[in-house]
Order: sequence, then structure tokens, then C-alpha cells
Amino acid sequence: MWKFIHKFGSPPHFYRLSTLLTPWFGWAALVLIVAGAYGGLFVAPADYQQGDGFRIIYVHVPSASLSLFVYVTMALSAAVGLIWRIKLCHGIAAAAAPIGASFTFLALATGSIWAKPMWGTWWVWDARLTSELVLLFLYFGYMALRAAIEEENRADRASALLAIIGLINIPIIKYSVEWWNTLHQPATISKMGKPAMDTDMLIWLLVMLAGFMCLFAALLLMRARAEVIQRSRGQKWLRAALKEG
Amino acid sequence: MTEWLDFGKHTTYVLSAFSLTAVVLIANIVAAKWRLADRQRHARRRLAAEDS
Repeated sequence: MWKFIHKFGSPPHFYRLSTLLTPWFGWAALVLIVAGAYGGLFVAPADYQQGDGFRIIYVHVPSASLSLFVYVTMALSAAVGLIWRIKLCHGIAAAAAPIGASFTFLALATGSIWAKPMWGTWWVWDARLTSELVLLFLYFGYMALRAAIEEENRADRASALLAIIGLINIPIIKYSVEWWNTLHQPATISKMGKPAMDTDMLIWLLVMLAGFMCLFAALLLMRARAEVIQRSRGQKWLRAALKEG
Repeated sequence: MTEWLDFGKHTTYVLSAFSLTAVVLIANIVAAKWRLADRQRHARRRLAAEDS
């Protein structure tokens, strides 16, 4: 395990592996997202209460799930970088932040678009919505902190601490619908219980979720490669890798 | 509005949500590709300068 972490943490190995994997994740994301959007818009039946408005969940739920998943990935990667001093992990965390911020923005925006016809308002200061907004500010704070500190090692350490502290917001978002009386509905898909959706609707949501995951992987690998190039200035392996293409 | 894009009284909301998602995801792909290409270009230029 230790050997694997160190091998994976070596920039040349990561660069080669990510160059190889990015197109696979990219094409898988395209196929899955197009199929999921088609299924969600035209194949899944309309909801008996919400009508066609429910179709917004096919973009809202994957965005919201990814907003949490990306943050956990970013914070864990930053923690590994901080504890074992693996610079690549700081690079991965830095690469994840703008992607996570985009998914969080999408979760808030599409949720708001859904809320208008269903709740009659674009926004309420509900526990779920407010904690998700805090998550967006955490992403912005992480990126601003990195940008504000010129020296790379100090920027890595300071932003890693912020990312780890911000982890406390993740269970708050996840369980806010159970801990407080919220307008936001409970989880659609839960690990423990039966999904709150019919299989004909659920299947397209899972396809869309898989597509978003693949897209995140492709984007993360591309951005992390850019970070690796910046952090490996003057290294011999980079010269060879750039010549290869 | 063509019939196949008709989602009743929620058409505007559904299409807005899907369009916004498409725009943000495509912008993310473009930004990531641009950033990587920019870093590669800079690194290549620096290496060429060192060689000469």
C-alpha cells in the first residue's frame, strides 16, 4: 500500500498515467451524460405530483452529489499532502477546487430553478440550501487563499488546513434534511433504504451520476497534469514527457 | 417550441436548467484544456530557451 502511494505520488508516473486515462474518462463521460440527459428528458415518465418539472433533478442531483464528493476528494488529498508531504496531492487538491466550485454553483442554480415552480420562490434560507452555499464559499476561500500566497509550500499548507477544517460542513449538508425541519426533501438515493424513486426514473439518474463522475475524473486529471508541469520545472522527466507529446 | 421539447408549464424551467448545466460543463472542459495547453506551451518555451 505504502509502495503504491509513493509510486502513484511520483509526478512522472502520474503524468504518464493521467495522459493515458483522460480520453477514456472523457469519452465515457460524453456517452453517459448524453444518454442520461436523453433518458431523463424524453424516456423517464413524468412525476405524478411535480409533472415534467421533476426532470430538473437529472442535472441537480448529480451536481449536488459531485459538489460533496469533490470536496471530500480535495480535503483528503490535501490531508495526505500535508501529512506525508506528497506534493502531487496538493496539486490534485488545487486542481479539484475549481471543478468542485462549478458543481456547487450548478447544484445551487438548478435547485433554484426547480424551486421556483415547486415552492413558489427561487431561494429560502433552509439548512440544506444555506450549508450548500457555505460549501461554495469554502471552495472560493480555498482558491483565494492559494492565490494570495506566493510561496508554493506555504500556499499548500495553509490551503490544506482550510480544506480539512471545511470538511465539517460535509456531514452538515448531508444530514441537514434529517437534523432540521427543512423545506428541502430528504435524500432521493440512500445507501441504507429503498430509493424514493421508481426504477424507470432512477436508472437515468444513475447514468447521469456515472457520467458526471467520469467527467470529474477527466477534468481532474487534465488540471492535475497542468499543476504537475508547473511544479516540475527544470526536471529531466518533464523534458522527455513534453517531447513525447 | 417544437413538440419534443415541450414539457408543459415547466418547459422554461427544465430547458433553462439543462442549458445552464451544459454551458457550465462545456466551459469547464474548455478551461481545463486551455490551462493544460498553456502550461505545456510555457514549459516547452522555457526548455527551448534553456537549450539555445
